[in-house]
Amino acid sequence: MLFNSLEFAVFLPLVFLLYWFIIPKHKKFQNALILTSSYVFYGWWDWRFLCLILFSSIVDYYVGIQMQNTDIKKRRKQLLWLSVFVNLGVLILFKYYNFFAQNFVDAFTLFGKSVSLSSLDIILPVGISFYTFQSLSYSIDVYRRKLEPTKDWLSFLCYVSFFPQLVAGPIERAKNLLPQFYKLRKFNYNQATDGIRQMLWGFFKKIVVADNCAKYVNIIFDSAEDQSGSTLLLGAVLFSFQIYGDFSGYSDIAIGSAKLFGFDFKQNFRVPYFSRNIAEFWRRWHISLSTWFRDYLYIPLGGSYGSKTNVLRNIFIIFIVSGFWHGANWTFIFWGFLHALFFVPLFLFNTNRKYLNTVSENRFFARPKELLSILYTFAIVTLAWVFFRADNLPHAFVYFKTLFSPSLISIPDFVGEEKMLISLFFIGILIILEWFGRDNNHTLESINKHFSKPIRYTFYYLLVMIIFLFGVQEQPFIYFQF
Amino acid sequence: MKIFLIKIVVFALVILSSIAGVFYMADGKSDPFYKKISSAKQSSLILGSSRIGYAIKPSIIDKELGNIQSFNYAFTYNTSPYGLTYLNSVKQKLDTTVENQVFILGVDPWVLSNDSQDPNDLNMFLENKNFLGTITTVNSHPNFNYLIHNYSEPYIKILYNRSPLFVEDDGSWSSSLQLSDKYILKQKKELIARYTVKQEAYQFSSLRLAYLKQTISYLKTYGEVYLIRLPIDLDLLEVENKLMSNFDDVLEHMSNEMSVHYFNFSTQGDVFNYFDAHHMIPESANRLSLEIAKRIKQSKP
Repeated sequence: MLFNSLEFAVFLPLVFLLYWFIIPKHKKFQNALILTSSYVFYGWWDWRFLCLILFSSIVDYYVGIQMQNTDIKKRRKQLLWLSVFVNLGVLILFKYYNFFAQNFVDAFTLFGKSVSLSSLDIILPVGISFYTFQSLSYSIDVYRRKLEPTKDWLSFLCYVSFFPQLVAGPIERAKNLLPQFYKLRKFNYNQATDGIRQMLWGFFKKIVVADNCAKYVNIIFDSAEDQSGSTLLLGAVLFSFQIYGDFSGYSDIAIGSAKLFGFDFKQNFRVPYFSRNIAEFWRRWHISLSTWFRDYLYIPLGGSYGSKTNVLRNIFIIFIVSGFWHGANWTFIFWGFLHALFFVPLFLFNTNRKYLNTVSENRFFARPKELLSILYTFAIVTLAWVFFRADNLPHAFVYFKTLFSPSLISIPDFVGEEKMLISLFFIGILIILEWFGRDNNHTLESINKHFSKPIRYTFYYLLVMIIFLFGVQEQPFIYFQF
Repeated sequence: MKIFLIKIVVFALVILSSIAGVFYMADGKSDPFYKKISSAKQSSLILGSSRIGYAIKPSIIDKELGNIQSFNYAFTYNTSPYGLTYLNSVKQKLDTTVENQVFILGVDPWVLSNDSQDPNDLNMFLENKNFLGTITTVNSHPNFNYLIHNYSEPYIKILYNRSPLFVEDDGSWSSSLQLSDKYILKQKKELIARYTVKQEAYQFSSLRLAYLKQTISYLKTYGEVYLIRLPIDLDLLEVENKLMSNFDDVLEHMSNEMSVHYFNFSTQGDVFNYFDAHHMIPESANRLSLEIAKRIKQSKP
């Protein structure tokens, strides 16, 4: 079920009413309803893959219980490996098998040997990369004794499959989310209204900004060789806003929906395009994934400790693996590699932790130097997105070859078109509102403090009508494929 | 909780009313189909593909024939080739209380063909999944089902649409577009190239012909039926003759069998002008409509 579908518009209020009004006020009933509705939400897409979620959940629940029953280090390690094997095994089988098989065959062909490996004709289960990582993090935390394993199977199943974040995150840690299932949730007016506001902003970013950009991005990327350099630059910029609007929009809707049921998720995006360097960008973009890789891959590898060579190796590993997590394609690997290259100078000059505060704190406008840093960071991030969006590496290289041709100095195609102007206008609105809301957990969070009721409600009304009037119908979310 | 719910419900009602208001404003400028599937039941339907949609002006037919009020209920090749979907839609649209109606059915090889491996497999007919095959009503305004599930443009187009194409009250398409000869030539070349490729994938469907017969039989209960093959650019005619070289023989045979008239204008392609190679410009459409009306008048006993 898509957040931007009519089905969800019926599903969410229905579950909300059942949750707060119909079922008895007891945490077990609340959890049972959450689990049922989460499985309905996922099964709406393809009920057969529910067994994968259930399998992954049961294995990790069992692993947690067994780890608690033993202090033998070897046994605990075996249990951890069981969890790793099952979760990553499922992920590799469904997501990466064909990629590895194809590359294996290609490698042998390169050396003149012919090998045949049959590819699997299987669908990639929606959200598999998200829920396997979430479930796996539980086992690792229990193994590290950072978390008490749960004996409440219902809560655990809810933790793995909670519908707002099931298919595209945020990847919630058990430490934050699981305890919320142990308690009876009580309706909190402020939390619920804040959730609605965050959802509203998420829908604007997805349906108005991302989906309007998508039309041009698809045209430009699909015919890159026929476009001028300036048009390709425009295409890359539009894709930057498409992917941001799409994914951060999804996160906002997910976090907002969870608030309606009394849950608090961690922030997943913190205005990443206002970052002053690439390190800051990665502290602000898809935070739940970056911190996952930091805690479960980078730090175990040695993190920032040890020799420079080791740290450099760790940086490349984490970025490349993070790229590969997005999809079984060399383009994602290259995208990750490119970000590692952007990051390395910051590490070498020890400036990777230079910007830990919000940009231009307590100021209306950015300082010129900050603005330049923001623009530079946005530019390199945008160029790297070309690899992310391209169908394959040759496609990306053709894109760059044409982009950096003399036709870069020309007026891009489409700029005079009505739909393009609408897209650019809403990108402008997004930038302005996000700039003024950059200190908050989400853009509309503090609107209560600054504006009177009539102004607020007029604004909400306008925003809903803009979403309705300018929205594009039911486009799937990009991150569903990951 | 109570306050939250009250606020949400009131806000939702305001929003839903606004949305309904926007939907009420949908009309012939909103998109090329809305007016056709949101007007009341109609008599003397004019059926066929987009060629018919542009070429036959009910207002001119009505004026010449008198006593009828016809309606252009033609869509596109993907939406309204002859088949079960179109027949059901026609049954929904037709006002059966009116007597002595006149029905004009556009025919050409494309509306009797399909691009599936088995051209007679009803399940593979493309129009099944198109809006005519999925909407539940073709006579209500606002047509919520169509607007919610099939309206392909952002809804702002309902309030503000600068497209030169619009649907007249009589269901026919009009366009205020002024195209240069160079542009038309380019369009023509592209269209012919596209149809040349398309022609290789399409095959005559005897099932579609059977549905055409069913449609004729159904309509004959309420009036007279006329089959028309429209004039098109002669180069395009050559392409579609490859798809079905015996088309005119088949149609003549069928029209005799079913006792309906078949008017073949296909050889007059160079007498009329088009936006591309088969969609007629308004001036030509008016001329052709008058000619068709005269032929109908002459053929009447």
